[in-house]
Amino acid sequence: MEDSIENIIEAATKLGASYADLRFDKIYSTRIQVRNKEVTSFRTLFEQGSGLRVLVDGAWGFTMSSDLEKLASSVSKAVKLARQSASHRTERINVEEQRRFKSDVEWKQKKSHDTVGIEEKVKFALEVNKRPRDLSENIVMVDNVYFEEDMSRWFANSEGTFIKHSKPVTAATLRLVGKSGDLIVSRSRALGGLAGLEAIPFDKFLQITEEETRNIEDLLKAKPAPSGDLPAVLNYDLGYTLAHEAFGHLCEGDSILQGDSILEGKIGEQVASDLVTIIDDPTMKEATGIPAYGSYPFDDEGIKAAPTTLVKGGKLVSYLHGRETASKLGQKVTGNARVENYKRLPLVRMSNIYIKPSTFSEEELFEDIQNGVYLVDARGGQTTGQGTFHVGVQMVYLIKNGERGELRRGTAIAGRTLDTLKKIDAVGKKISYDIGGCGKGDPEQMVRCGSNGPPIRVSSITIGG
Amino acid sequence: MNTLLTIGENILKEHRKFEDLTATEVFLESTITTTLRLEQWQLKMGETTEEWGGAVRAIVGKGVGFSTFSNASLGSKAIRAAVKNARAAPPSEYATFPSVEKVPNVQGIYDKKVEDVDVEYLTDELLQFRDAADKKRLHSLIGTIRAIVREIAILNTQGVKYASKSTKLTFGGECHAKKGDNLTSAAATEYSSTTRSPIDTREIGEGIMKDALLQLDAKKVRSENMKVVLHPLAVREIFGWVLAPEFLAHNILKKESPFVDKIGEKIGSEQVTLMDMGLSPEAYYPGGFDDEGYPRKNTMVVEKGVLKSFLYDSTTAKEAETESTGNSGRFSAYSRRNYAFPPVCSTNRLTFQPGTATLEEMIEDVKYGVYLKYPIGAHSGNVASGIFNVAPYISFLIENGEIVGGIKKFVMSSNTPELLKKITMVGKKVKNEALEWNEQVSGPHLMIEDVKIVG
Repeated sequence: MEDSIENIIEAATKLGASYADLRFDKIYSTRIQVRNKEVTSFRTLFEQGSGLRVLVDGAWGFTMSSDLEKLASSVSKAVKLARQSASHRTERINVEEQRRFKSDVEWKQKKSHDTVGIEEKVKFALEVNKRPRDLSENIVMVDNVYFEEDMSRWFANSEGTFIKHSKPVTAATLRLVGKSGDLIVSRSRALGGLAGLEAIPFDKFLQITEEETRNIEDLLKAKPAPSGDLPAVLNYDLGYTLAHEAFGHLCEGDSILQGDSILEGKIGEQVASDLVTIIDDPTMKEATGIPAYGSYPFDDEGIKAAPTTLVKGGKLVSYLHGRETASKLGQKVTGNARVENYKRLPLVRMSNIYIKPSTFSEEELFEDIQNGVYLVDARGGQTTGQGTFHVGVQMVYLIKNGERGELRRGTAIAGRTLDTLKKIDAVGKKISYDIGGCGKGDPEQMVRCGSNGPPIRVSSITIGG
Repeated sequence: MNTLLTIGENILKEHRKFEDLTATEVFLESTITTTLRLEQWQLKMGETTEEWGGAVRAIVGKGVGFSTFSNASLGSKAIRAAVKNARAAPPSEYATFPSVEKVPNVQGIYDKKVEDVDVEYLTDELLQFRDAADKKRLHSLIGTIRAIVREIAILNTQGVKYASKSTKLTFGGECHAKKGDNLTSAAATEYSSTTRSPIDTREIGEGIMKDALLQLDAKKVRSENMKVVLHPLAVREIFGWVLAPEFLAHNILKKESPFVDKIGEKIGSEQVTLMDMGLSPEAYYPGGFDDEGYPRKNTMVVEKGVLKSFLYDSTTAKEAETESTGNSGRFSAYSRRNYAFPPVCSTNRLTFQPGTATLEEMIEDVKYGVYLKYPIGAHSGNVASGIFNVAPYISFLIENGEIVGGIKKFVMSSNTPELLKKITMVGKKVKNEALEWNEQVSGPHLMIEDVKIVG
């Protein structure tokens, strides 16, 4: 296969490509989904295929196929389409030459997927589904997923880089819906990592399941959340969501080039309070030593992964880049080009973005708030290049006189990103790790991201009732 | 014979190797796409992609197993994996595949001219879009045009054996305007199955430029209950993410919808008529059969505010002891239609039946309110309760019957049962806005009264 990959790249350069790269994926996964006792999906996935990108006369061409031989026969089509675009350009796209790597990286499983039989995994998934309904009569829906994947990606380019990276993924997710009278509430949780079965100890996930059942019971007794502008402590998941959704997307070099970011031209400017340092780190490891969920050794353009500080002491110091955006803006490539799979072109993406922890204990975060809210766990988040954001919130606690008080139901926060970042007046010291995903592009590409960070405090945030 | 059907028959023959196998189903999909993209006033890239994939569902006893594969040579491996999973799966009382039924022939979903489309034609369309937008007044411009040829085949051991081929031309345009630190956005998407009803890319370019410039005059909105006019894109976002799933049988059967046990009850205003247009050639994924091979049809879901029916696939129909409405689709919540997902109950094209009001009449009727063109955050809504909060991406303030500027920040809070009852005006039919999500909803402009806005 290595020879076929190199032959295709060579064919592209012979047809006139000044640069070419190819990604070949081989994925094997199992997914068991249970919804109210019923196994609604019990899937094994075999996926393989390759995508070739060419730069011809200063414009891009791309072709993709699940069959390497078919890909070889469509190289000329990609070159032709690139030339078509190039004939309507006045300015050439460039990628500056980068260091070449030959590498074969395998992230190993301590407890590999095949050490536990499929029957045992089904039993686990069914038990997760049963436990909440045994514990509470108010649970009307339990939807949970067990997922494992073994994936290998080969990357090669016309500069001589050839990388193979293999990694495992194991995850479990849970969604509960509770109902009492006309009131319906829900909770979502996940556990997992870029590892084997050690990423989801079954007992631990069952404990989480019980904890979430108690949360549903409590939410069913809770009143609606308050609305308006209030001081707030955001738990690690919401702090992360603010860093990722509201801010991180605005730092992506392709958004800058597309004129779709309010951070365009703001390098060196104060964009957050001076307590805020934000880093994107694809080499990050969790406290357990497992690579954080958005980690990779090389990005999908063959650039070696390294941390990038985006904001230091509140000042914007860098964007995130792939090769094209770095070249165009005359900045250093940061190794943030990622693809969901071989079917798609690389986009500039975050890996594990987080707000750097500071010194505040949880008690210290609360103690200065007389009348505010403690916001717990995000339910989806979205941002715009204009610098506005919307994030769903799963649970709200009132804060009165520096103490966490009554639980209220879920709500949403929204606002202008830079205004909100400038209102961060405390950053917690404890970092938490979680798994997450991010969608971007057209067609949308989902990639794994670490959902990590400390809790933060903002002097005021808009809360929808 | 259709190539996909031939491949499917060969995979289905493997069924005989497994003595305990009760039934098998094979779904195959091939999508060939030619794409041209324009960024910052210049063509940036061209793509030609062939996405091929298949899926096998196997029933052993009452257990159902599923597997997917991206290459025909992996078909045998896939059927073995599906059987293995079915053997390990707990019994499902409702596991079933459809039997042979007469499948309607939906006309107007395929155009040879789209399949053979010339890249020069696509280039011209993109350049017309570009030339309609004024480079001096805009900060940036992005456009993407695609010609798509999609084939699917569904076969099972009950005798179902259908194939379908459809085409699409799709166009998406986006632009940004900037004044100081105020960056505004505008976007539009449109599609057509044939070149006989071409997309007017020039009109799209002019329209989004106008929206982006209008928003440069940014206004603050008060915190109060007010009238909101929803653009079709906002209808798609809010009702697509939150409302459409509430009519799907799997959510009804699991009590995860505010409309459980409400058949025959008034759940919306007189103006609300919602039909799932399963036979519409305008559906984004049109055709005469659903993704498990059951005939599609048009199903009245809400008529003049009264809830008439939910939407069923074979499995949910069996559980509810009724008939399938042909509403099976292979989707995930965050994906386009994709062979890699097992079929689930989904809308075909849930459509608000058009009314008579024009957008201008709606705006004139508003003394102080919001025209919401594109919200963000609808995906975080709660399907079970219908409660959602959204913030604006593209939005305008209306004062005394006129749009006076853009609005950057507010939270709109409501829930779908309440919203349906507050719809007072329904607009005329609009063009096809691109609908690619699982819970597809289409609709014209809607006027909604008394909506909570936190400014």
